[in-house]
Amino acid sequence: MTSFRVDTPRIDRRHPLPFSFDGRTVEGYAGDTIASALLAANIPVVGRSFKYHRPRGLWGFGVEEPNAFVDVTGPRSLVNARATTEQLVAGMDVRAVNASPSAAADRNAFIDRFARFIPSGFYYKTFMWPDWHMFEPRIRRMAGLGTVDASQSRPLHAEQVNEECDVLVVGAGPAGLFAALSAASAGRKVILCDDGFEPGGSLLHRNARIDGLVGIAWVSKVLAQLARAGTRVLPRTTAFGIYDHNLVGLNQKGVGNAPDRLWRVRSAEIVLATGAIERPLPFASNDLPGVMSAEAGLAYLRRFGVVAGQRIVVAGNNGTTRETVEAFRRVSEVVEVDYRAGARIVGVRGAGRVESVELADGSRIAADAVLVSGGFTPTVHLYCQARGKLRWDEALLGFVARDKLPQFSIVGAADGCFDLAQAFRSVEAALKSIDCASASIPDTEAADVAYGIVAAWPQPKMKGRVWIDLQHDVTAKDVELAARENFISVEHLKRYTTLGMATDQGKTSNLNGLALMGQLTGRSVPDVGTTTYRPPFTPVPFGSLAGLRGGVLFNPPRRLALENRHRDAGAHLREYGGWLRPAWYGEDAEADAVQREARQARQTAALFDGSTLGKIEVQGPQAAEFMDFVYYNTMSTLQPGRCRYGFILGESGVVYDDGVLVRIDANRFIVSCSSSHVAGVHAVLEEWRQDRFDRKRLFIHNATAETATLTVSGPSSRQLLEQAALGISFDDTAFPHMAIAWGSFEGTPVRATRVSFTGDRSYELSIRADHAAGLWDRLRQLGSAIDAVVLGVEALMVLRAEKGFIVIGKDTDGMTRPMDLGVSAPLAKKKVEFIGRRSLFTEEAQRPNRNQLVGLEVMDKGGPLATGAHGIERSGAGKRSIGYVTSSYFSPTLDRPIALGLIEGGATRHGEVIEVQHLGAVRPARIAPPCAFDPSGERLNA
Amino acid sequence: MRDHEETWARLPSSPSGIDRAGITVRELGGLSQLLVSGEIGKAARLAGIDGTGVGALGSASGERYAVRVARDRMLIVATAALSIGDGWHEDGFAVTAMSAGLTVFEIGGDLADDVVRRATTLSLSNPGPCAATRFADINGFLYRHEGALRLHVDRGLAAYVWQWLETLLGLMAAETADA
Repeated sequence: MTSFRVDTPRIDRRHPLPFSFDGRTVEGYAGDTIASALLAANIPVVGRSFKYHRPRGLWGFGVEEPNAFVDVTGPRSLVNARATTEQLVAGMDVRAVNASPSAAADRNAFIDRFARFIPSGFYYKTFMWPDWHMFEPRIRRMAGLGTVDASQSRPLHAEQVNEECDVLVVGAGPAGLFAALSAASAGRKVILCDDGFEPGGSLLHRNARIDGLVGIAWVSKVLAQLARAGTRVLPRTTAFGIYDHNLVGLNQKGVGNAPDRLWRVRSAEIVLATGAIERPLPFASNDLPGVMSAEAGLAYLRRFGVVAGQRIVVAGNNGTTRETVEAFRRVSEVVEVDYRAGARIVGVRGAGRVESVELADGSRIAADAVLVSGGFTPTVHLYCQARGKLRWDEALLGFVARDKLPQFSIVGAADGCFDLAQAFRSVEAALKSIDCASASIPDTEAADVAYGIVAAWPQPKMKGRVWIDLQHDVTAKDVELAARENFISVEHLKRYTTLGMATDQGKTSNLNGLALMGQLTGRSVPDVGTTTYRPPFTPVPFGSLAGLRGGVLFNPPRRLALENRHRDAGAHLREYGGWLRPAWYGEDAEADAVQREARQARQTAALFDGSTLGKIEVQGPQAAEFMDFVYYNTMSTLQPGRCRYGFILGESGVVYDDGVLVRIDANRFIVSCSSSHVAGVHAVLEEWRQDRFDRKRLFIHNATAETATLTVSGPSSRQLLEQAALGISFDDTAFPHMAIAWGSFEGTPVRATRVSFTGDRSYELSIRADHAAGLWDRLRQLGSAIDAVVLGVEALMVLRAEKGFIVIGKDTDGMTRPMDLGVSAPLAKKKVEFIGRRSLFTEEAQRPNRNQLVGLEVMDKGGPLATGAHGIERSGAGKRSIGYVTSSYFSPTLDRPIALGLIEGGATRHGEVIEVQHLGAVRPARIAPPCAFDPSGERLNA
Repeated sequence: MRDHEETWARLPSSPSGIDRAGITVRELGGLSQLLVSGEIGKAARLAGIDGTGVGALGSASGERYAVRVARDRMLIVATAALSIGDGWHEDGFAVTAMSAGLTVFEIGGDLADDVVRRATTLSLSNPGPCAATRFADINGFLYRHEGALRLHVDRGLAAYVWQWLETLLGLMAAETADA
């Protein structure tokens, strides 16, 4: 037995919490973290190192912990959780990461024996031939952190809260509490966050008397005052990043099984009271389990009643270990190694955990725990993220903030003020700088010991393996190797050795690494510099970042007004361009149903829900001029009550969208764009309106959602609609193709537009979306008498392909100009400027052998060509792609396969037979006109 | 192609409303809504309402009011049909009916602002003169009407908003229960 538990009022030992660690049942208590429970259970090895699989014990007690990473299942599921910052919950199944079957008996521990052969840079140099990817999977399996359990369900939905305040105080230690209290007393709206389970910071484990109260009591008093002032106090909350305009990201750990919560706080002022992180001391085998931060040892003792060992060596190069020595003398044998008095540890020994300490004078001390302090590094991450620059403080041997940033203050230990009185004074100064009178500075009676740090940096050529970065297995020798190979820039040092790259981001290791590199290259630490601080300060769960955006709440499709009607009709719903739409109807297999619908649509009539088509209104005296500019085709000549098909191009001349433009009256058009392009076309229109036209004479409204559009198509469509009592004459003279007519259905206006995407006579009926169900029901009822069919999107795709009608993005690509689709006249004849015009005159746009839209006739019995199959051309150099199949179906009406494709120079190659290759199989196909059905267009009026 | 029939449930035919965590949500039907751009002051006079329009979280009242959704754009909302016709008006404004295009939710209760904190990045103390905002990651118009929040969203995304609010209020209710 080495580490053990003693009574403390902070841990209720009447209520044990059983859990398992690496399969072994362990008992902790309410108030424990996983780490404190493991330490109390005398489990020295809590993890394995990243690279060499060295046994590792606890180093810290908070976010700085580099060793104790665990995967947790059970009541709360976590991956790569720090054991020091996870509260114990009964029933947890805790497993050390990167260890199999357990941290204590890891089967990959043998790797450490070959450590001398695999120093930093080994992978870069070794696994170059034949291909790194051959080795990568195995290496990644052997070296890594936690494992995501793919069988687990996705994370719980997490809340994301946006909050604003006058002052955000990060850190609820003594300085943070005093800052929050002062700001709140001055009437400011304050948010106080702290990554601990409860506010108090160092006062939770260090002795102090403040205003006559012991530290803990003072904390309680301040919290009560803050509560009365309405201050929001967020425990378990890490400020992980600062972004533009003082936006600070906070992650609040959930309690029990509750998910974490993300806070986005916008604060007028930020006060950083984030404290400081203790550094290790460099000596041989300083990674052995049992070597622990002195501050952590004191925290485990006083917060959790856990004693790190029975024979403890406390070693430090500063005054903060004085209290630690005195505290442990009451419960253990303690030997102090005071670096300030010239003593030095040169190494520790032990099998699996510390057994003895070797000093520079050659003496040896039997010990089962070594509590070390190499000084403190102020936690300035958020300051640096906010573009703050650091200054080296020779007295503190650490970096501190150099300049005061606007709306940003640093107080307490984060500003290098390591005694209470000094910390409170720093708060007073900070608040004064933001015109916020502080409360009177509390009287402190702490036996403040002078920090009085002396240097104890790692030295070149130290004996043994001196660990710099515990999490990423970087030793002093690795840093020396980097220096020898001239990776002496701090950024190169980081990338070559991976120093500071792990999930702990070098919180304990960076400064020792910089100091050693400085000595190796004859530079001071500030000359070596620091790497860039970036968010997050600590890892943030993906669930927290995702918030509610998961499952059905992630990228939801739009829903049709008639969706339930379609469901009732047996629709199979699929997502098309951001809409949930009927793909086909009925119980038949998809292929059969699509063929049935397409065949029947040509024979009688088809009912189709085209509500997703864009309905973007363009209004104003400049509307006609604007439409001319937006469309490739001339649109200003369009008469009111008529419509015209056209292309919208991008500035590069590539076809961006196609559709029908409806002119309602002289000053009002409706752009009926592709369903999936509504938002994009709307943005294009608005952009050009604002950039080029009179913003007082031209306006654009997206009214797509206002109306449902019900399409009736097929040879019997007119017959069906004439019975619908819409008050519209469907006579071809009164209502010709590409015209509109107005009527009504049960008092609701209906706009009928005679356009066709099937090649058959077709009518689109637009009606208020909330009144569409009645009209749909009427059409279904009338349709049943003539054997009309409800048409899904898939069958519509067959019908339009028979006619050679394109779908933008399917039958076009990012190179397709309108001439490639056989539409050249506007370029030759249109007199006014339009989007993309100049690009159409480039050499590339005019190149004769561009990929052009064609039909492809199958010449064998192999069924439809594969969509995406390439047309190929053979030459001495092998095969070359000459384009590809864009759409391919079996036409039930033609009783043969049909296809569309983009083929090099295709417009002039009709009748030519080419080879089409797919997955190695080559088939012949004849180039044909795109339109395979009713090329004369007679059925439009049939 | 992925089968989404089961992913998204059937649309609620007549949502009964949500009452959880001190917050009530219901869908408001039957409101007339006109989107007006251009000389909105003239359009407002024609409609007999104040042309400034309420901005984000601003307070509207009565049976007819305007919601400001851009510098030169507003949504006129009324309980009865409005007499202003669709299309371009020679006074310099464009009108489009949106009564069916925008679904309106009413979010009430003492903790309704907690929904705002979670659904938007609006500042509660200085939300701005424009009611157009992102709500639950989609575009919407958000303001107050006689104490309760009103939210107008694209009809096609109303089912999503409903489900989003149900999920959020479930989380908030669980949090209240834990506390």
